[in-house]
Amino acid sequence: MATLRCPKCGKNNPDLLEVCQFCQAPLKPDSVLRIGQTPIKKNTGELEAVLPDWLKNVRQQAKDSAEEETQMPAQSKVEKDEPPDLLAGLVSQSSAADDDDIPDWLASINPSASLKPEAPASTPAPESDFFAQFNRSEPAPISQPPQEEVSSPLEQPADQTPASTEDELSKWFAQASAQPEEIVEIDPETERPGEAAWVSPFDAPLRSQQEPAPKEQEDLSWLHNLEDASKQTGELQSPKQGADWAQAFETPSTPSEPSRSQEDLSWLDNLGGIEESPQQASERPATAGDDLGWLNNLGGTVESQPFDTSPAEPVSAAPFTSGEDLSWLNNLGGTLEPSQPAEAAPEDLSSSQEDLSWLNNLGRESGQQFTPPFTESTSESASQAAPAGKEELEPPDWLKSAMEVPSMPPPGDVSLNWFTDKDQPSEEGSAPVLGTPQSPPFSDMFSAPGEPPSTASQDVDSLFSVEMPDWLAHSEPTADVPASSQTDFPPAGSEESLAPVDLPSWVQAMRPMEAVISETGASAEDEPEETEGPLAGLRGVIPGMAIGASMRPKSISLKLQATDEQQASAALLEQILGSETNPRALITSSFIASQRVLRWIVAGLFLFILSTVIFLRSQTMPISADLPLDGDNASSAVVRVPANGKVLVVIDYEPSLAGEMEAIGGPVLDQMTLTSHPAFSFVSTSPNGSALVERLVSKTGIDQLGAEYHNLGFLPGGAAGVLGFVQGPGEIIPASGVGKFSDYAMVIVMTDHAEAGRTWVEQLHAQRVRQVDPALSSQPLIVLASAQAGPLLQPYLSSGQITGMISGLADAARYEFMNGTRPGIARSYWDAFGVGLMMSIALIVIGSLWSLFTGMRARRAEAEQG
Amino acid sequence: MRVITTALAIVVGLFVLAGYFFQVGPLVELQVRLIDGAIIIAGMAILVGIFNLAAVQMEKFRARQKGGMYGILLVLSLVVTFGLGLIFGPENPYMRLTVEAIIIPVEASLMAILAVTLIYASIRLLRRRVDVMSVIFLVVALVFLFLMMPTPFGPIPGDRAMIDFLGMFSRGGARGLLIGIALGTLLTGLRVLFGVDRPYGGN
Repeated sequence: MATLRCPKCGKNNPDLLEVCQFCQAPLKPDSVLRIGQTPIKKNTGELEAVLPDWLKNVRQQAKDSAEEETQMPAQSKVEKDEPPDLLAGLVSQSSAADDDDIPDWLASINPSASLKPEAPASTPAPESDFFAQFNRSEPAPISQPPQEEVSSPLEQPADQTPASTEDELSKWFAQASAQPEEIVEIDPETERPGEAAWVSPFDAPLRSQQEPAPKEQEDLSWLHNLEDASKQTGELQSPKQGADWAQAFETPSTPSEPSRSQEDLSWLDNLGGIEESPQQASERPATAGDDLGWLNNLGGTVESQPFDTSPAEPVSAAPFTSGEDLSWLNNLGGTLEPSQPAEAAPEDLSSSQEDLSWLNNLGRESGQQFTPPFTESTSESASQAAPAGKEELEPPDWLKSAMEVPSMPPPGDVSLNWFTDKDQPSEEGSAPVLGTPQSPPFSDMFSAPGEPPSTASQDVDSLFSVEMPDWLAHSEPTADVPASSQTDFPPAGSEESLAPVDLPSWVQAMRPMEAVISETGASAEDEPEETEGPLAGLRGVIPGMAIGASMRPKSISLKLQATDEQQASAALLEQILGSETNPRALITSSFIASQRVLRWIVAGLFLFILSTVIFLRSQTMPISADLPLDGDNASSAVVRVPANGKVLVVIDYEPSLAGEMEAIGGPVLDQMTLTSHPAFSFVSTSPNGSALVERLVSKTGIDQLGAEYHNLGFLPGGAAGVLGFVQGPGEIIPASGVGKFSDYAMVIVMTDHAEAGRTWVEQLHAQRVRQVDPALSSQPLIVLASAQAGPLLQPYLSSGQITGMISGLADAARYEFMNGTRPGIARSYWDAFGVGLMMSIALIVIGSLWSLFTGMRARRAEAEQG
Repeated sequence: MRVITTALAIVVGLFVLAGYFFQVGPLVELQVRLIDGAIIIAGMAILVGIFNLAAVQMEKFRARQKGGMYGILLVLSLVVTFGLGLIFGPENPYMRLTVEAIIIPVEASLMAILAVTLIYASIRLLRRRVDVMSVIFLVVALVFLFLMMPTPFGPIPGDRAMIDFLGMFSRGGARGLLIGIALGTLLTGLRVLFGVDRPYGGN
């Protein structure tokens, strides 16, 4: 057989199944209900193939037990010491021989198995059955037709063998799903006799299970327990035939016997969970066999009468048709409410598929740990029945009592926290806090089948004292309600791909708390609505933040954070640095103006005073007769010049000092003329010298004395010329009139700078040393120098290279004084010379002192300023 | 060409130097002849210098540079003086008038300005810088001026002795200068003889 892999849990399932037998996830995509789709009603009989094996076995057992029930009297409950095997059904999956263990009640329900247990389907005794009490009167025109159709197939499989249980079940489910959802009315009259009858189906499978194997009988022990308990209380009447309870299941809401007699498998329709279209619903007549409104009543009573009411509050249960029969169940719980009279029956007992949704939830939400065997199937049928919008039924009394807080915590309560969670958000104000999670209403029923009656009663008590979950307490949403409930969801933004969703109740039941939904809804509404993509129409899926906004790094300011004080310090530093580069204005006096005025003053004084002195020809200042030694030597040499000898006079001074030189040379030339009447040869080594000869001669008056003089002119070549002239004067200057230089009796050099004198001295000495001409050694050399050249020629004088030297006006005046004051040039300059010197000295002294004082003051001011 | 001039200069110098040390007839004659040539070249150099001076001043005048008028005046003066001197000779009274009326007064005036400038400089010497050397210089100058200064009261007693005493320092300094000059002249001659310095062109 081919296998299908579950997309959710990944386990392999037979391909016949549409829902995974492990996780109840749809195996085929077709069976998946997508958002926007309206559940399609399907015949529960089609789902028979989906049923797991263990369920099929259970059903078969039920059928068998129902058959046995009809044949045998109510048997005592077989006490089992062994704990109930909740998973006995699962264990029986592997064995094909478990078909015999299908309980009668289940077998009676199953249209395929209705062949076997014809009794439960036919007899009206199921009023005493457990499930018969849930049969409620339904509107006849609605429920009756389907009941008839369902009943017939249900009757058939009653006699079938376990070997064909699976087929029967599948057929039954198919038929059940094909029929409309109908509320199983529990006929109150039938309930009493059915009190035991409903138990009998449960007992039947137990009994049937006992025979083949102990382990397989454990799943129905709870039924036996319940049966025993009911017997003890005396409320339990003789069990009816197995078909009775089945009829109770299958009978529609109408209290009519035909409806009761028919197998009411409508609850199975509800178990399928596939919502049929209204057309299909109308087509598929509600048969009594498919009328499982009693199960719907279980859920419908929840909606009509919320579970969140305090346990103490009486839960108005829908009047059972056999409410009085099941009143013992109410008393079992202790908190069970007294069965209401049948007069309450006329209340709305609309059993819808949604009423059985609680069964789906029972099976699914507690399915991980423990799921009642039939809750899985019931969950499917309930899910199918939920959106059908069946009439709501009031919960039975036993169920009402289950709304109350159990006296003892049911086993496996840890996994049933969802129960409490659902109750809390739906409660408004008075909501009992479910401190301990409550197990499903029927969990206790399955948990301890082998317990003694006392414990059974306690179990029942705890069983029925379970608080009804919120989703069960509220009315099941009809086909319209799911549509309205879907409006609670955040509105779809985009209408391109998604339509408003109408979620079934079972899906809604799976939703988290409403508070969370409302919160998310509120927050989601603030978020922007997606407009494109797979999330179009949704809000709050993607956080409303710009992409990368959180990733954007914080901008860091590059500006230097500085306080006011720091900024002020920085500004001050900047000012200081700026002042360093800026030139500083120097505080100085007008230097140039003071210099010009002083010079003019000095010049004016000198001009005025000296002019006056010269103009006055003053000769008041005496001249000393003490001639220096150098002067005496010169005088001596002049006197020894031979008469009519030739004297070379070298004119080697500038016109600027002509006055001084004339004053110095005048007395010497005059004395020489007077004494020797030499022939003077004047030569000059400067170009201006030639022009000065005449002035000299005229100023000195030697021409008037009858002296001869020759002006030889300019002697070029500097030292070389002098050398050449010294070596051969006739060759250099042919007009010299001499053959050799030694022919000159005396050489007089008149110079104002030491260079010329030095040249002549050096050249002559060189010739003397060489002794080319021995007469040169005796040739006197007199130097007539100005006051500025005299000191530099003193060494030559000291060395004897110069015979005599007259230096400056002072010596000239003394020499002239010695010469009888002849020509008298020096004498005329002497007074002015003296005055000038005195003024110079005075000015220098006074000025220096003044300058010293002002300089010190200026430097002090600069120091202070700097 | 540079090598020839350098070699010629060196050879001539060596001959002249040798003539100083060796009194050999031809060598002496050669020395005299070389010196005569130098004298002639020197004489011509003056004319060349005068001509160059005139040309520069003329160029300045032609280019209308600052001081161009002075240049043209200079050139004219030069030409007139040169012409008159060639024509009349230096003994001509006009020539003597030119010399006595223009040349000597001008230069004498410059010398007078120099005198005033020196006095002014002496006055402000201590304002510019006040140090030992400046003070000593100024003091010594004043002393000499004072010793040489004629006084209405006659010569200052001991002036000659003081002058000779202080003259000793001056004479010593002068000797040092003269020795330095002599040594420098000797070194320059040797550099020329060795071809290191080439004042005649090429460097």
